[in-house]
Amino acid sequence: MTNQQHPTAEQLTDYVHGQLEPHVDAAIHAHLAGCAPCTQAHDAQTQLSEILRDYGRATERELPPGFAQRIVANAVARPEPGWSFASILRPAIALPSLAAIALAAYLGVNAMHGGSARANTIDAAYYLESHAALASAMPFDDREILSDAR
Amino acid sequence: MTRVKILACAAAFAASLSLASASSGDEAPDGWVYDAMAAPATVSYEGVVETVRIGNGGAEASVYRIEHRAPNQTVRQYTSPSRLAGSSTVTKGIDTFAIDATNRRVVQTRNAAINDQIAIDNNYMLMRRNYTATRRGYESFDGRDTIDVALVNNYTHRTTVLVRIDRETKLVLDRQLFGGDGSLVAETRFEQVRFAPSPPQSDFALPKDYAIVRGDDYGSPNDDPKAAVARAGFEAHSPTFLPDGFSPLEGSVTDVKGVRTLHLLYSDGLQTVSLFENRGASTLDMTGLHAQSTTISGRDATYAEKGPIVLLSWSDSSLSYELVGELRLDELSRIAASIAP
Repeated sequence: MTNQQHPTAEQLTDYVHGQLEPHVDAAIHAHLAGCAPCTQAHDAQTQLSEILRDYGRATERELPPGFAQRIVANAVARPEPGWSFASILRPAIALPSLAAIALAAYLGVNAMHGGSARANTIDAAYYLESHAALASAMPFDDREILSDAR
Repeated sequence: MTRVKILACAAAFAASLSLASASSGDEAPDGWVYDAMAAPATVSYEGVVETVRIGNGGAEASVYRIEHRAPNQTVRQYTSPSRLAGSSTVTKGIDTFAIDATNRRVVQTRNAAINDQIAIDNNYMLMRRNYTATRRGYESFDGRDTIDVALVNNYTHRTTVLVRIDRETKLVLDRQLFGGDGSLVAETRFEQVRFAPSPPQSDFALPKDYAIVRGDDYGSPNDDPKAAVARAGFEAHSPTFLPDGFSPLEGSVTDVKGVRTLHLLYSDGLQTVSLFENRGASTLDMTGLHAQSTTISGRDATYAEKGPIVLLSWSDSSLSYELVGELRLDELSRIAASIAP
């Protein structure tokens, strides 16, 4: 993407976690400086990540001795279980799944301001920045397009 | 006139100006203007810069500490506005590196127009054709002796730019830009200036443990406007009206999110207007701007202001258009109305 496009929710998540290709990372970084709704979505993502991390730290427990070995032993000894609809209702699966769905919906709503990442939607900032770049060759021009782009 | 022809004229004119400046003492306004444009390539300095750009809908201001090592390295450390406070940029030639301390990385952006000597010379020749340099007097600015030079539009007879030039170094210490109605639209003040023989290279070094990531490129490749129109891939339309002194200067064709877009730049040497044209179902996202409605030849149009810059957008049956410039809305609207499908 370039910095005139709104990032998708997935890209914002990867951006927060530093998992994007350098050019995409740079484009999102530049875009956030000029796009308040995306900045809000980014901040929300960052806060949520920190909350989840804090929660993880707070609830961290030492596993009892031999716990991991027992799991491995059971997994080897038991036959492959068949999939059943009831299995997704077990708390161990249902709660993280609901959290993931809620997170996706939350980020999706925040990121989809005015049709985020729609095809062929061009950010007005692209026109302003391209104009400023060419106009920088004018005598006595001193505009700081880069400060606006960050 | 083609880029090459203008370049030859500019080179000859620059040579004559330098000779005139050297032989006629130091009071010729044209010579001061030329020297002021060339000064940053030879003078190293540091100080504080304050900028303000004023539009009908609001103003933008920034304050930064600047350190410049001639010919082309500059560090800017922002203190205001708050969203930029603490951040800094390092410019080396056409590359600018924005240092993002929060995420421990450096974003590299390239603007080839900064070093496009053909474009710079073209603009200078246009400015000479359309503006008259007039000495307005002498004064002291921030404790330094300056000569004040106004660039007066030959058609409107109004001052478009007023510069206060340091008599010793020829650097511009204050620049005021005025709109067509005479109102101030931008000012840049350079204060607490000190001239360093040569700031240490270490001042321009990038943080070693930061990752460098590549941002967008701007200002390239540029071409003759007619050549750009021919490469557009669709039947482009040009305005039949331009304000006095304006002429087509540059052109480029770029792919913007899959939309082939023609960019034409018009200028009178000091003021500029960009016309963007593209074909297809592209939509303009004006998030962050206060979009307002207007009409162009009976067609619905939208405009927004960012400081003194106005963006005007509309479509006809075949193309989408965007006009961007530091002209008033009524001036841009008149240009827009002359673009017949």
